[in-house]
Amino acid sequence: MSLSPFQRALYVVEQLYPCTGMNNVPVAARFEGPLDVVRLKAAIDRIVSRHEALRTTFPGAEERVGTAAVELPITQADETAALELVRRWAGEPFDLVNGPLLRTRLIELTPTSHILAVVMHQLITDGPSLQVFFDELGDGYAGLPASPLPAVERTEADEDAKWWASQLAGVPTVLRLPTDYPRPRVATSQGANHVHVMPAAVMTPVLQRARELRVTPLVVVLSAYTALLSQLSGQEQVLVGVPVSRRDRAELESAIGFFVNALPVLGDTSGEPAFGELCQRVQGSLLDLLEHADVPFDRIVAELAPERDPGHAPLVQAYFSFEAAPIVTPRLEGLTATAIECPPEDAKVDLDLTIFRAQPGSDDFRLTFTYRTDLFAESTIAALADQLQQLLVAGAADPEQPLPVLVTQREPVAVAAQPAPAMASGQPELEQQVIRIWQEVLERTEVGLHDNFFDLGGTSFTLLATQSRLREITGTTPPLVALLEYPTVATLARFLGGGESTAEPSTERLLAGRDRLRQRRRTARPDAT
Amino acid sequence: MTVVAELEAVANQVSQRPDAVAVTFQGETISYRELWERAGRVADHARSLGATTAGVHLERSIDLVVAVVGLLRAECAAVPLDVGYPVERLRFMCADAGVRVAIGHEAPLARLGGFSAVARDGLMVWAVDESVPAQETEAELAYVVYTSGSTGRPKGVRYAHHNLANLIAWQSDTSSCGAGDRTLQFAPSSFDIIYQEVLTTLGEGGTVVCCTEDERLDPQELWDLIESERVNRIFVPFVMIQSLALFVEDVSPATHPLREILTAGEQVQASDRIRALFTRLPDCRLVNQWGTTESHVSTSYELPADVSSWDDLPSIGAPIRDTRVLVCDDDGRPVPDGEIGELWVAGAAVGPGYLGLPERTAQSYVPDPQHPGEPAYRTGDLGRVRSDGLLEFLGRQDTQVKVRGFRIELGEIETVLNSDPAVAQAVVSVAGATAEERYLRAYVVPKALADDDLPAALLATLRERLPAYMVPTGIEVVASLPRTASGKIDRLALRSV
Repeated sequence: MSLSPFQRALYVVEQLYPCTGMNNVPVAARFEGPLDVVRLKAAIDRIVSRHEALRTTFPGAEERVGTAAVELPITQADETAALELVRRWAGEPFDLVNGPLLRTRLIELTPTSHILAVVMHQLITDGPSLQVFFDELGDGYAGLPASPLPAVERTEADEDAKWWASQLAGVPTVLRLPTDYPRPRVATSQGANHVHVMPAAVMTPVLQRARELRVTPLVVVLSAYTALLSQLSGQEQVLVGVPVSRRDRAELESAIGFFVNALPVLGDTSGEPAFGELCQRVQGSLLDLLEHADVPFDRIVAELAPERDPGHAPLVQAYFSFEAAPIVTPRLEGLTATAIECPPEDAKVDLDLTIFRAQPGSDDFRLTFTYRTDLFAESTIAALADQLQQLLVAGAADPEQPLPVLVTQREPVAVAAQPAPAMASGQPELEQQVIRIWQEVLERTEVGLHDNFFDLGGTSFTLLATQSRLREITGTTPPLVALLEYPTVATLARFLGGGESTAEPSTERLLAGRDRLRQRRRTARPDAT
Repeated sequence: MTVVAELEAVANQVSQRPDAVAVTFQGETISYRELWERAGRVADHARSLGATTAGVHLERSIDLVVAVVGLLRAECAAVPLDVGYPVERLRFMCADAGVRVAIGHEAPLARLGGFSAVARDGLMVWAVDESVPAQETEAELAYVVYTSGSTGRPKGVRYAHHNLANLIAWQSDTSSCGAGDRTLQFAPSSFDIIYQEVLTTLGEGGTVVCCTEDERLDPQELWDLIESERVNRIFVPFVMIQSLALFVEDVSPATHPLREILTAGEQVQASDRIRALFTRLPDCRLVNQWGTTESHVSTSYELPADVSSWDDLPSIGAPIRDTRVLVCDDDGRPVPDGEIGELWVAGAAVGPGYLGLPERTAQSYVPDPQHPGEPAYRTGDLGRVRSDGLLEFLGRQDTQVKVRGFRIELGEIETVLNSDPAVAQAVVSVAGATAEERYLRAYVVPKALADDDLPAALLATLRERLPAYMVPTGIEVVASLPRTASGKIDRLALRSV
């Protein structure tokens, strides 16, 4: 079965960078009490046998459902070592070809205290899937019969992004955040997490204010976040990537799988709006885009053709997800269960804020900022977390007033990419073949020798199509990285003709190509809506 | 025991014919007695939870009908939360309406977040969001239905018991259906029409026939259901009638149960195919109704049996009981009969306004110029009074268009296109950003696989039958047309096709 349009961009990034954990979806649960490991393992096996997604592997640009068995290795460790293990496992990469894309591991702290670490790959999961996993784990452990799963048909993607183009016309597609270090010419994924607990003393009034403003809690916090990003960047209009659940059919409620699409939400702070007014704008922007939420992110990027700056991720450089509930609510019969958050540290974008309620029944919220360490020092991110808190306090206290200006702007440091000098390849036949393939996959009649694949509307999807057509014609499969590294007909033909095949691909060009691809990558995040 | 006015007829049926079938779905049936008992349990739960409004997050089912009746018995306003909506939209609706208590099937309810289950009733779960304060009673409200426009913040439209009671009593009196007749429950739960379907049918002593989402969307499956379940009456959008008309050759007219098709929400176009449908089903009448969520059904017109006497764009008829329709100019002054103006509704059909939006309510619910003490609702639809005294609907104010100086009714062009045997469905819209650049564009869904000559052939037909200024610049063949959540053609989305 071919990849869904929502999976394909994610898959391509994985092909390019198979050894990062940035698309891992990890969570852990701590169980206090006498744990029956055999029953636990049997419960996990039942979940895996029920849900195709957990047996899916990706041997090519397609998915295959197999019989992948999931292990449950047991490690003994003390408290400190255990948390370090959980952190390390959360970032361990997956083998997409052989699977499984679910890992479960158990740590025995004492005979009556255990931590279960669960890590899935984003290609087969999302936020609600984690809860489905733990619900079924609880049922299976308790010996309850499994309820039948309805058949899940794939939802169609809407490949027409024209609404998005008209909606976001004129909005800056690069968020120019001031950085501590000069922005590398090309983005990397080196990252770290900064955790900030927003106490109930802050969040209870914020949630109360959301009710009075009649907007969702997500919208109030997102409004403050966009206001802060606007102050930091000096830009009145800010796009923030927000994952939107596509579980809008009853049969998807009990499914494990990837049913999420990250979409750019517009925060418009022009005209110094009162905080309440800003919240209404953000709520309106979010409600509008929900009507067009089936357009994959890479299509929106392609339609908007954002500035190509390899130092920035495409279209959105800041992500935001919010859930007014703990990440999961685990339960096992006869035991006390609590969830442990353990997000991976590799950064997808400059700044990625994930918010969950810390504990059930408490208004303490746990904010995890995942940030690029080549751009920011942790102290900067810590200050930013404090500023977000100040804005929320101010906004909740008096939504009739504009938010206070907390940030005096610094000059952003951005290094623009220099286009490589173009030259003919000396491979006229190959050039013609490449042109024909591009014309076909890009559905364009005009393809010039030095046109950039991505400027012509190329996406991760067409990249995969190009690779497979080249395989049919040349008999060998050019690596995807090559297609990224040589994005013009002339350079690609030269590469295919052996002109550059002996040269090591330069890291810089590789990263530039990777970045271009990222511009098309629909981000995959645990669902926060 | 007293019940709200719109339930009185239902309560009478319960005592007169307790064993008659009230609701049926996929082979399961419940009697009027059972319906009343189950609705009573719903009402008891609502009261014990102190709910004055309750979110309803149920899939199509007998439970949904039970919940509609039960919440009315509890005088608890329903806030329909359609299970097919995106979750963040549902969360907005909960935040906007301050939903503290919700009734729903368990799995969909869980994804709303914030709600904890407090009671169980069969497959239904009652849940409470403790962080939301209990609201003050608004006893007169029957429901709050959210507008489903494709842009802008949805508005919660309030509708009161007395509004609903007037509509239901009138509908029962004027419909050809009665005790023992069967009516399809077609409307989504988030749509005010569900009240018209369910309460009219139960008040008459008929049977509500529920359908699955698949049957609702597929005209062939729907025809099968209508025949196998012996459905006598359906309330459907006009696009569904067009779809049903495509497969009319498959039905057996001699034994066909269908007697009444009521439609609202879009301009009816009496194309050749629509006429053929009703020619094949001579015992079935078409009723064209008009209204908005704010004024529910405001006017109605039953087309005569002789299809050859139909206008191409049939009238929307006359106001329903205790309701008035005014045709006003931009300054709110009634215009003489025959002149085009905005349609205003006054009287029993007009609800109390938007939930928590006093300014927006004041803009649209204004004093009736002829009865200044009473409110009138400005619909934004255009129309006029014809020489026979009936009302003619002329489209939305924003879809009635002027192109190159000519005032054009898009429906007239659509009627010609829809009459073509090769066309399953057609929509015409205006493209071009500025007044000078405006041009007409038609979007056509072909009946079978379209051949490449279809646009040219259609253009030739249009040129024969319409003045040149009404012939679209281009015709695009598309696989389907964008729809809003309630199933209407999404004209705003079309503009970006």
